[in-house]
Amino acid sequence: MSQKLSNLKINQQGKIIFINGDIHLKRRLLELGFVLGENVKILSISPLKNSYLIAIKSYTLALRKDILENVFVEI
Amino acid sequence: MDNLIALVGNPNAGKSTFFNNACMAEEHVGNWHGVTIDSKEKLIKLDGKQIAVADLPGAYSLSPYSYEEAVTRDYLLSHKNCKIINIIDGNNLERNLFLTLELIELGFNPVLCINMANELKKNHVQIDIKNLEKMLGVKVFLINAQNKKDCKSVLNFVIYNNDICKSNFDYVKDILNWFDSLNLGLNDRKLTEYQKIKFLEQDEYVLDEFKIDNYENIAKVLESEQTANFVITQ
Ligand SMILES: Nc1nc2c(ncn2[C@@H]2O[C@H](COP(=O)(O)OP(=O)(O)O)[C@@H](O)[C@H]2O)c(=O)[nH]1
Ligand SMILES: [Mg+2]
Repeated sequence: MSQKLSNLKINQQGKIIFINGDIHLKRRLLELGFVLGENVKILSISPLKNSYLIAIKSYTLALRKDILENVFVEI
Repeated sequence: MDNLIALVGNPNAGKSTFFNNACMAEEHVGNWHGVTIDSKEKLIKLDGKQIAVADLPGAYSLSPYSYEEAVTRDYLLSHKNCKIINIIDGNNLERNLFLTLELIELGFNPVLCINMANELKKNHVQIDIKNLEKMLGVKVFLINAQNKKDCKSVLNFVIYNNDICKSNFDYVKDILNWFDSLNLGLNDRKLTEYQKIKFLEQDEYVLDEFKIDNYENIAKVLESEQTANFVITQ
C-alpha cells in the first residue's frame, strides 16, 4: 500500500514508488536522489512539524513537509 | 583565450583548493557552502603556455535553484570552448556524479577529478578508475587537491589533450532522436543538444531565450506522447 512519505513514522523505511508535482519539482527531487525504487526514511521532525530530516542514499537532507507530500512510498 | 579551463563541481568538492594549488593564488578557502559566489579567474603560465583558470561557484545541477548555480550555468554557456574539470568529492560519489552525468549528457566533455584521495585511502575505499572511465567515457583522475603536483598534472593533461570525451550515452541519443521526431514546429530554430534537452525539461532559461510563447501547445504534444514524462523524469 502506498502513502505519502510525510506520513511515515520516524525510522520507518519506505521505498519510493511515485512522485507527484510539476516537472521542476520532480527534477529537483531527482537531483537530490529521489529516484523510484530508492529507500528513504524520516530521521526526525522539526518542533513545528514543517520540516523533516530524511535519510536517502548515503546522506541526510532537510526538506519541507509540503515537498515531501509529493513523494509516495511503499512500506 | 584558447586555453580556458573551468572548475566545476558541487559545493565543498575542493574546487577552490584545486584552484589555489594549481594557480598558487591567495584566495580564501572555506569549508562552508557558497564561499565562491562569483567566478574567479586567474591567468597562469604552464609550460610556457598562457592559460586562464576559472573557479566557478558550487553547483548541484545546471538547472539553477540558486544564484551560484546560475553563475556557473551562464559561465559554461557563454564560454563555449572552455575545457571543464569536474571536481567531485570521493566521499560522496553517488551524489556528486549527478552533475557529472548532466555535464556529459549535455555535451560539455568534462575531465573528471575524484578528490579527497587521502581520505579515501584512510577509509580503505578503493575506486575502480578504469571501469569508471569506461562507463562514463571520460578521463578520470584520482587526486588530492591539496597536493600541487596532482593539480598540475591534471592541468597538463587538459591542456595537451583535446576532444578527450568519447561519451555518447544511448539514452541521450534516444531522447534527442525522439525530440527530432516530434512535430513541435521548432525545426527551423536549429536547437543545440543542450537546448533540446533543457527544452524537454521546460527549463525557463531556454524557453525564454527562444521566446517560446506557445509552450502550452507544445506541452500538449509532449503530454500526448506517453513516454514523455517517463523519459524526462527518470
Ligand atoms: N582531506 C582533504 N580535504 C580536502 C581536499 N581538497 C579540499 N579539501 C577540503 O575540503 C573543504 C572544501 O574545499 P573547497 O576547496 O573550499 O571546496 P569548493 O567549495 O569546491 O571550492 C576545505 O576544508 C578543504 O580544505 C583533499 O584532497 N583532501
Ligand atoms: Mg569554492
